[in-house]
Amino acid sequence: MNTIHKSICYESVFNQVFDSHSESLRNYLYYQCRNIQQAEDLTQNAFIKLWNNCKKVLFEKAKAFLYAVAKNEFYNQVAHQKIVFEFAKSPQKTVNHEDPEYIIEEREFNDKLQAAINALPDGQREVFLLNRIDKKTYKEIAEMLNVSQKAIEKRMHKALVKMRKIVKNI
Amino acid sequence: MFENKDDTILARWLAGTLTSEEKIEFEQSIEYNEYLQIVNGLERLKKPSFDKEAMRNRIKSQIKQPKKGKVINLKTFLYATSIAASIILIVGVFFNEVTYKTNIGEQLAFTLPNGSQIKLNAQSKLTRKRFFWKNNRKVNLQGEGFFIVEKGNDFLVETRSGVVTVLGTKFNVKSRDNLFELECFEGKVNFEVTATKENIILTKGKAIKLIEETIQKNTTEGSSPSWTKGKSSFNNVPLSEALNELQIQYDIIIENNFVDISKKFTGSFFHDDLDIAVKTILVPMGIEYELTNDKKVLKLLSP
Repeated sequence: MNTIHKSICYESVFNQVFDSHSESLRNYLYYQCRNIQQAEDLTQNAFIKLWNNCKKVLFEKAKAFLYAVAKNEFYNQVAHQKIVFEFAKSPQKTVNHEDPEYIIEEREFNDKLQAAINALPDGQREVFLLNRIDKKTYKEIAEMLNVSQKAIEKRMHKALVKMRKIVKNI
Repeated sequence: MFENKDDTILARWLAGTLTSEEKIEFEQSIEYNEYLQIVNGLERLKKPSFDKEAMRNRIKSQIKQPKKGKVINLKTFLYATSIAASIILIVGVFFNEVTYKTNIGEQLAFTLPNGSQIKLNAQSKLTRKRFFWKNNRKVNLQGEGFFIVEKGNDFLVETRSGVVTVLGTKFNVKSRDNLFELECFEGKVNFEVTATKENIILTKGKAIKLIEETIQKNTTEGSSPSWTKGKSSFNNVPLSEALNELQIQYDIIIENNFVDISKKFTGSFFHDDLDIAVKTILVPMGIEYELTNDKKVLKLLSP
């Protein structure tokens, strides 16, 4: 598809940008600021800013623009809070696993995981969760944050090492 | 420990891009199960819910709002410009006139926007339009004025008796009560009599006088009227005219006790000394007179 001549000022094109990027952006912001309402507001404002600057921002640069704008606004607000994941029940549950002891264990482990996630530095956490929860590839995350893929891989590695240390109380 | 082999190895494990040797080595390490447990545990975490359409609607309502604001702005802008336009119109209608005026005994010299120089004799008034005057060079004169007109489009002097049209020249116009006098000192002027629509062309040194619609041709000398040099000159005019001029140059009241002032007078008087002026007019005419001590009233006694 030829995207060179697409202008974000067209509502259809704007909608297309919104459809492809709104959720990842919101989650990225949530992982960073750990407040769902704040993430929603930041996302919303980023898209409004994109619309207001539709003449200046190329279609291909829209994604980078959205992340940069949202990140800058967030840095101006900085009020960190905790991420709270709802968690699904274990997908590979068997009859055996239904026993109360196992359920308690599983819940404890989940709490540990969440504590570990929240203990990660911002840069590692956002990358780690975008990959693990939002299933973004390293390459996609690198594009979003405008850094190299290698940098993303390093952060992933460090994040996982740190997760294990926290979970295992090392 | 396996994780220390290089600084992206766990990332590559997660992405499934380890070599088969690396993979075997990792799966045999002590930490492997712990990492697997963590990664599997993360699989149970739900992606935060996201109501895409709700946000889309919020964004839409926000990006539509400023446009409403712009409409209001445009209205206030229109109001502001209308008010400004009204003010300009009012100023234009009520203040679109410039007046130059002299009182008894005064003279006034000024320059018009096109560079034309005008001298007004005593008790005279000249008006012109303030805006766009250069496009339509027209003045209205009551009294007496000497014009040195810059070359350009037609220059019009409107008076009670008629309109003087010139291109660029020096001329004197006197329009008082029933008297009209036009003297041309340079160039050429055209005079159109209002009442009869008759056109008279005057060249240098020529003069006309209009008394109750009868035109009297004269000549004039010099390059400017004598009044601009502080002297009023008369050539074969009724005495009343000279006395009227005297009242205009000196603030006096003339009381006439049955003296015939229709007799013709030729002569002049200066504007700087009333005693001498009165004497130069009345003594040659053989008229006795009395001037009050405060020099306000001139009584004509008898011939």
